Amino acid sequence: MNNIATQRIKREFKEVIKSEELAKCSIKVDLVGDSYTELKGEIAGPPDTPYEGGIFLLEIKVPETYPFNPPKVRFMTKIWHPNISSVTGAICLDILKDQWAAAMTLRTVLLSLQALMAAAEPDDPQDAVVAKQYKEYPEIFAKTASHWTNVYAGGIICS
Amino acid sequence: MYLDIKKMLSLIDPRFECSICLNCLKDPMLTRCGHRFCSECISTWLKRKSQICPIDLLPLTIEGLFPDNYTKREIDEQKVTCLNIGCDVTIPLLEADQHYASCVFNKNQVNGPADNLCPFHLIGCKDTIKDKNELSNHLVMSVHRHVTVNGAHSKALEATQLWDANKDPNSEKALLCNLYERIVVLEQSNIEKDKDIERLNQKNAVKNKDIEQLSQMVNNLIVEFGQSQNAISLITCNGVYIWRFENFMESLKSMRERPLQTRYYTPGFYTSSTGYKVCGRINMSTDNRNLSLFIHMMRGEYDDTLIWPFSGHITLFLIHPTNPMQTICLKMQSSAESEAFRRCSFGNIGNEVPSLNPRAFGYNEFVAIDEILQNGFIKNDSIVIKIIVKCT
Repeated sequence: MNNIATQRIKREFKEVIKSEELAKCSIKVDLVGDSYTELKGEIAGPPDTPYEGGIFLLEIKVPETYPFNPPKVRFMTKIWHPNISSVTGAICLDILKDQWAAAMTLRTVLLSLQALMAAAEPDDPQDAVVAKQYKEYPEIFAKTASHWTNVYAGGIICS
Repeated sequence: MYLDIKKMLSLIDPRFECSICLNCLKDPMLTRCGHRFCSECISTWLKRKSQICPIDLLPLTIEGLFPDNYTKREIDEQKVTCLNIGCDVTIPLLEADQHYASCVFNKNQVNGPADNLCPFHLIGCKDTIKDKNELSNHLVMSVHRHVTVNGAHSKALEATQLWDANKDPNSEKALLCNLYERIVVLEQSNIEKDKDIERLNQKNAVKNKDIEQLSQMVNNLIVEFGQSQNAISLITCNGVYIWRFENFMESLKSMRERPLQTRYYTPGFYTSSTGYKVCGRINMSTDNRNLSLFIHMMRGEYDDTLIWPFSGHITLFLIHPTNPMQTICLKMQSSAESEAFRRCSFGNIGNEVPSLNPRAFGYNEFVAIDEILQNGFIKNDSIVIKIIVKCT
């Protein structure tokens, strides 16, 4: 892996570790294996949403060309959300695609994902079924999302 | 080692940090919108497709960058001391990273981490604690987190009990829960399949169109082929032409009504593949009781290479469809004096060369119409005439 990508990830690690969000237990990053190409992220479900109380694991793959290209991020924890595939965990978020900027960091990505969880964009959906339910039956959507949070994102079950 | 870098980092003034590599600015460049980056970092970024500032996303091109020599001088003046125990080197800020990677005293810092788990590990805290100091620190820092984790833990337990329904596979709840999850997954995969099918259908429609076009082309080719085969047969017929004259009764009627205007011609055919081009003609005789059959010389491809006037035999047949004995056969010899055997462009003035010689050669009274009608020459409303033209 090229030097600038590795160096930057190392430094970003520090940024997340010393960030106040970590202290508040809202985001976290871990290494997977020895290389800095694969990381594991964690986001706490934002309060006052169906995801509250859940801990969501993310797979983060850092490309060779980081930070000039965005990291590839996907939910490993199953989640019921219009912009996230309920089957594969793929995420529809502009800053992970064409709106990426080199000054963004793992921390800002995780915080953006947390914000996305709190405010879905059903008009730009990744998962059509969920988006339809979100728009047409918001109450059932909230129940389903909170059920999935309890079943899959209990946080402690997997350790 | 991380902790030490962290300390190092905290020594770097945020003003001197590049937001792309997160290192100390190297050859700082100032953007039009007022941000500083290493020269190499920002130019690499701008070489990629997005021409925007990585911080505020405003449009930015390489022309919008200026070397920030003021900041460069300031950075050059910064010196830091290595924090590794045993190493007391003072180094310029820019080289701190490099020094750090190779500092021989670095190894002293790496102790095997004591893997003491946080007392809250049972409910999901995954931190490890090195010593008592760190433990008390951790407990104070993470009160909030431990409480959240605890809450989530009991919620999850509840959920597990609710949805797993004590793992009794026969309970209605468990069954419902399983069915529900299946439905959700199936619905999603169904939608994805629908999209696939739609895509395939579109592809298929395009292919069908292609096939339609191709079959149209093949049809056209078949028609063209038929036409050119007809044309070839007219060239390679060796002067023998079989004329199936269809719709005879109707043609006879029009010949009787307008005897002077109504004439029927065969297409032009060649006496050999490089020979004379001729055609046959049928019309009503002047007495209105007989059919006339004539031969016209036509303008052909090889007229320049031939000997004029034409010289040879012409044989005309009216074929009897059932009895060969009744077939009418008349043979004639070309005559050098007749205008009819001259080259058809011969003697004409002007640009328009007629395609056939206006003078014809043949029989004004070839066969009586009564004979055709009464002696069974007509079959399926057609008569068959055979013309043989041979050169000598």
